[in-house]
Amino acid sequence: MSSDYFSSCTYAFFTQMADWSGIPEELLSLICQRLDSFVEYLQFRVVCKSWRCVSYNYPLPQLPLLMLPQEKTTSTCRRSFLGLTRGGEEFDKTTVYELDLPEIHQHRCVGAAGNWVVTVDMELDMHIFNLFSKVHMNLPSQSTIDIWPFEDRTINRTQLRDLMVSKVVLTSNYPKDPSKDCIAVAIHTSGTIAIARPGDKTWTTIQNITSSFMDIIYFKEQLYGIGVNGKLYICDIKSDPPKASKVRMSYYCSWFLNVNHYLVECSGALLQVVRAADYQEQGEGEREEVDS
Amino acid sequence: MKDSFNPSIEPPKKTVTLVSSDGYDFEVEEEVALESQVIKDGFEDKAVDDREYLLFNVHSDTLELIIKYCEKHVSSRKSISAAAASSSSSNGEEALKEWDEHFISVDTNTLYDILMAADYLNIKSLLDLAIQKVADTIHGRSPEQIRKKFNIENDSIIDPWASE
Repeated sequence: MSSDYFSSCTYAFFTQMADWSGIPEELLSLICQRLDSFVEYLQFRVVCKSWRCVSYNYPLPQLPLLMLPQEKTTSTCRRSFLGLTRGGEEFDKTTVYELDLPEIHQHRCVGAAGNWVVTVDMELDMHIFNLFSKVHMNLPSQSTIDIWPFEDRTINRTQLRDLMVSKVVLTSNYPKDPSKDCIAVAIHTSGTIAIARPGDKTWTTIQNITSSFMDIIYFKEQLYGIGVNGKLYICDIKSDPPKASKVRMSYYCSWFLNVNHYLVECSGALLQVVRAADYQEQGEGEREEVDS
Repeated sequence: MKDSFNPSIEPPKKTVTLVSSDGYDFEVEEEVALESQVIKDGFEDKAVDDREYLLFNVHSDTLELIIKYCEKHVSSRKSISAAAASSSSSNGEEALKEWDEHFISVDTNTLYDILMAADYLNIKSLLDLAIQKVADTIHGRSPEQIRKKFNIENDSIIDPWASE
């Protein structure tokens, strides 16, 4: 009897192959904890379904990666990302990660939210793309931000791609599905704010404010824009047509010339960063809380 | 003169028998078998003459490797503590680390068997070693390369939103 038992056992064993996708969750999470970086963790998660289910809490806040521009002459589809390694003594060590991204080859990245990036390609079409799940969605072409008929023949496509949109923000930090959760808000080099949802055919501009915008931010469920005049606006991007209205600030930066205004979030407060490009003292900065 | 008591004579080694899933017996020293927490936990309850363990989940090829690992670790621990007691310098730990590294340099199928056996027998240091080896193998590889290396089928296109 026992020999029968063993022979059946033996048979079962020899037909069993190493099944890495089926290893127990405790072991997978132990492996996860030994990975070097958040990027490796994200890559680990897309290997297969059972590996994706393993959750491991990385120490938060996770510092975002800095996406480096693609070299103009490169023929490969690799993109470099600059990041900090995880915790401990090596915390301030920077590492460059490379991801193979043929989907956004020669695209310019104009914005990001979570794992999603917003890009402009050489045809001036715009995209929302998830770097890890590779899900892709269309935004309207950059050329539909109809500011003025752009007929300057001296500007080539690369320049159009690189110069016309200065920034795009998405109205969700970690959109699961941008086609539902997200509105894209672009700031055009002319200072106009344009709004679109994934799948739209054209961008819609905010027209009730004549002043030019210098920066925009999505903060606490609201879109804020700061003008070249240093004034803060709140934009109702869900109304039709979208509208902007002025916000009173406790502090008002009265310099007009050679000043750049930026909006940043820090520990739950909205801050204005002012960069005065003075020829004697270049890059002198000042920050003021505008809303908290 | 009477024969004096000689303390250097060691008592005969106690052994236990491990039986692999394919029916092979392995007789190993007790202390080697006790490297496995699972065997250790049930050890005292077993009668002295019935120290036989059926390891249904461990094939003889893997069990041979596991025993080799445990024997090495038991003997290294002894020589390291002996060196420490006589306060002579020793690079025992370094050497053991090197031995471990060599031991775990196996193909992914064998690594899988070792990992599962170490988990089943609860041998913590071996489990650590195998887990680290898997992490090292993942390191620097793209998801596609990881799949290829571990022979995993790509079934992850089903839920594209899961990567939030």
